[in-house]
Amino acid sequence: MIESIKPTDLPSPPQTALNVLQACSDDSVDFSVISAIVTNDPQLTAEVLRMVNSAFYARSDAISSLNRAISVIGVKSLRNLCLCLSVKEVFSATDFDAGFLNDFWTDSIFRAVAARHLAELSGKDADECFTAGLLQDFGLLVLIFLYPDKAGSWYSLRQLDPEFRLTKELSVFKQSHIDVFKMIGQQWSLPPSIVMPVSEHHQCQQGDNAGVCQILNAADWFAYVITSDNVKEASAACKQQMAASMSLSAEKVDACLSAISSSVNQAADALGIDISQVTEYDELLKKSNIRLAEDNLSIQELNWQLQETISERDKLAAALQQEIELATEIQESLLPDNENLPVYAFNLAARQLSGDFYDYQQCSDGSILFCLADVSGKGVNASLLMVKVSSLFHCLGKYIGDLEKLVKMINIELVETSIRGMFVTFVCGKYNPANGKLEVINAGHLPALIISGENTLRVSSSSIPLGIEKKVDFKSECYILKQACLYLYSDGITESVIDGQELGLDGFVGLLKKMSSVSAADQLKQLKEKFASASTRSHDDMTLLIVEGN
Amino acid sequence: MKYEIAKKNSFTLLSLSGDIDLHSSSELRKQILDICKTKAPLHIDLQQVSYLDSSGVACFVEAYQLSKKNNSEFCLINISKPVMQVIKLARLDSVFPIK
Repeated sequence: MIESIKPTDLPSPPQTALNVLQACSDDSVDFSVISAIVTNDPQLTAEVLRMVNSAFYARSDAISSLNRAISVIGVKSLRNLCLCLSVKEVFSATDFDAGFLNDFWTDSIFRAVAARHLAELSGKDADECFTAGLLQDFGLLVLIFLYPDKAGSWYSLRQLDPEFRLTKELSVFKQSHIDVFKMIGQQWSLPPSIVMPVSEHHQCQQGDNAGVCQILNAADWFAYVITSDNVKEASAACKQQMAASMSLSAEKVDACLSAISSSVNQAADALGIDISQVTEYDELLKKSNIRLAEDNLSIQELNWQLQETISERDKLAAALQQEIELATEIQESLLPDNENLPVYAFNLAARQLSGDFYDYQQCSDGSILFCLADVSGKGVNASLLMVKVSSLFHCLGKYIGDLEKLVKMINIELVETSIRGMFVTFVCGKYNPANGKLEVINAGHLPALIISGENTLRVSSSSIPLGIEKKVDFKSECYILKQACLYLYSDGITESVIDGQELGLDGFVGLLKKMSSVSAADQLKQLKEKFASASTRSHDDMTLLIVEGN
Repeated sequence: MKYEIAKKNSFTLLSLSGDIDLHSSSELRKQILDICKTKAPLHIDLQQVSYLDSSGVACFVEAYQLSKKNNSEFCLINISKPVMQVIKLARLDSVFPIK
């Protein structure tokens, strides 16, 4: 991609600066030659004199002639001065948005001042480092000049640390400012003492330029801290980098940053570059700390709000739980508990509220009326319907002696108030202990089982469940329950998983047969323990009712 | 459970697959009610249904009751073996129109 940039595409410095640079490329050049070149450009001469007398150079004596300036600062410094003063003239305000150019030079001056400060601390050539610092990202300005549609990316690049910035720059421009600067160095006859360290400042090599190269790398990091939107974070990253690359302590880095930020405005004045007033590092750090404190406060406020919400939720959950516990208590109270009857039952609800139920009671003629039912679905809606059916059965059962008529009336009531297609699979019966007569109706439920020793009789469903159709005739079947037990159960029993396997109807029958020699009370106790530790595929309620024959 | 709705010339076909249980039956009910609102004849294809619990059966009962009320057509088609076992156990094969 870099091959696509031709030397003719590159910008040129003002002719005087070019002449000075070319003359200075000869080490033996006489200072009178340089003086003559610069004097021919009255504007540059005035700029040089203004700069050497500026506060940035902090000279006690005034210098009024170019010859005097050269004799005081030397040929090399004059060359650098010319370069610094000329490079800002390469592009005019018409080449870029004025705000952008201003921001770019502001960052460059930061790097230049930082490089000069570090050079003074380490005994390197301060003027040379200042010039190199000013030019070290000049290649990026040229790239933006050549690819103006990517100019907007500079503002996001500016916020990145130097190493990440270089990676990102390569992905945006497909070439780096280093490569471009090398071309410029060649075309402008820039001295190797500037081109080499600038070219290597992202990857310092061993050799004569290593010291300046490290200074430029550090200058890049320092400028990143001062121009960053997040000074605190940038400062921490810079300190880590400086400890590793230049063995600078955190305190030393802070001192450098303070010194750099306080002399940037002077350098800008000296160069004649108008930059916006720079906030000093200490002030930036203070602002950053205040923002951090504000952010922490916002987070704290969010935490408080969250805690309040959680507390409110817990209160509502506790109130709801209380309601459910009360409903559970009421539901459990509906289950009969009469030890004097030969009926044994349990209901293990998968949730707190059950959709299964059983009921039994002794009628005035001594017979026992019983039922077991399973409401479609689960949860609160199923349990409410369960309460309704249970109440209807218990209440109407006291007055309607005819089992078929009783079931028919309950069904009509359910159909008339049916919602959401809810229905009830229902099995009920009447057992007379005096003569062993057993009457059973199965409305859409699992088969009732009559087990006597090894013999099993299945009483299958003879009609649809309750709550679906009004005009249904429920036919009862009659048996004699002698030395046998009748078992009614819900699908939670047959779908339970015991020892890793679903029990199934056959498995359940097998289980009951094994227990047929023990009393129904003991059977129930053992079965309850077994099923209490079992699980079901759909977390179903488990309900069982046993009627023990004589 | 997954479902697909296809509008045929004279009816809407709701094809179901997977398990229909307490977790999926509310979605099934919503789809059935949406179709029933249009009073279009509804055919439910159950060939790919592997499990059906009572909450799923309740959805079909509701669809059946609504179709009777709206005087529109409702039927179950291609009933898979496990679903047929549940329907037969509750003797609902005598209630639901089955094709």
